[in-house]
Amino acid sequence: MAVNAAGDRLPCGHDIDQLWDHLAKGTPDQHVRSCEYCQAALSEIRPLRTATSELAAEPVRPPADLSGTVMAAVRARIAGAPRIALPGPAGNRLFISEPAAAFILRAAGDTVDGVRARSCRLTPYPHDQSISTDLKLSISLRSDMPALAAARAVRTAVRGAARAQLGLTLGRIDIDVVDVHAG
Amino acid sequence: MGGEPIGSTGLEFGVPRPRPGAADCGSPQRPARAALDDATLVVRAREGDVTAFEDLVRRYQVPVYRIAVRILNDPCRAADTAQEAFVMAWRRLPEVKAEQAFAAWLYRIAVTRAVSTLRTVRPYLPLDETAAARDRSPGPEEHALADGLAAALRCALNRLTPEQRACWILREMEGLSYEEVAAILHTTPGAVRGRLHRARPQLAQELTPWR
Repeated sequence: MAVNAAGDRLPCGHDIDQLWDHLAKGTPDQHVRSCEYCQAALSEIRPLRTATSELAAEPVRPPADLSGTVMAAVRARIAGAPRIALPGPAGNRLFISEPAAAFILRAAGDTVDGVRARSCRLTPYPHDQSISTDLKLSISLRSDMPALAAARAVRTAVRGAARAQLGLTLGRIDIDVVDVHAG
Repeated sequence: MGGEPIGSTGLEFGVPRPRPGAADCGSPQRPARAALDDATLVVRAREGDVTAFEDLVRRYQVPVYRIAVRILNDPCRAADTAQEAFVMAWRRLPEVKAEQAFAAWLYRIAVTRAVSTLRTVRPYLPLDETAAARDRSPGPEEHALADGLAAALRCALNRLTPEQRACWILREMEGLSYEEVAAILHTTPGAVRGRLHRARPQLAQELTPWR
């Protein structure tokens, strides 16, 4: 390759990096098209560009069971999560793990148009029989949604789901709009 | 390097980040959840929502495996590497500070493991090895007869150092920017350019018969 001692600049002033970019974009300028040094250098690196493109275009499929294997390993590593006591008669206590309860409450939040529930934290009231738990819920809101109306709808949805699916009476519900997403 | 918080790079990958749900290779029973953005899924997974993490695994299993198999050139080791990377990502989710940069963080874990595995299983063979060393593997001429240009490049990539090879794959085949490659490899964009610059003539030399 007719380059200088540094190994990257041709006698015409162009360097190999520039030519490589020209090859990638397929847009050689007037100089490159007519320069003998550039043309000679291009002939040397063109097969590499072609081979790279061919190799990159080869389809690659992971093993069919990869995600299943990963998730089996993940589930085997799950440590004991905090539990919440559900209301019930003494002597027949029913508990639910906080992640499981959060899953149900997030799903309720997701039912509101334009809302994606994110963090869901429960603070149980062990000594108050009328209120089971407080809730802090963070959400991402679609950019065209009014925050106040969305928050009202989310409160209604999660309060209803907590009561219907868990038997929990939610006390304070704090909603934190932490992100906005496009429609 | 995989242990750094995601916020350390500040990068959000545009390429080859899969479209939500696009890389789902099976179990299409939850299409709605698969459409959630990374940040939402990461927050949920960090709080113990296993199904949210499963969505992330399905979304990224193709690029993570593809990068691993291209670095390692070994489907079995690539599958192991991809699995280890995801399990490590699950364990380290509490370290994630910028949820929207999950892809950069995950790729960093996967590439680190792949490069580490490559160093363990096969010390690299420099391109300027003696002719005797070259005789141990098929030359370009043999590839011309057997498999063609892409196969010859695959063979030539095997002769690069693990770091050079990772740079080539991430930049030239996965289409990441110099900055993104540098963040994954825990180096500078200038160092990435340097590695690619040195690798290019070596690889081009291997493909001489195709000029």
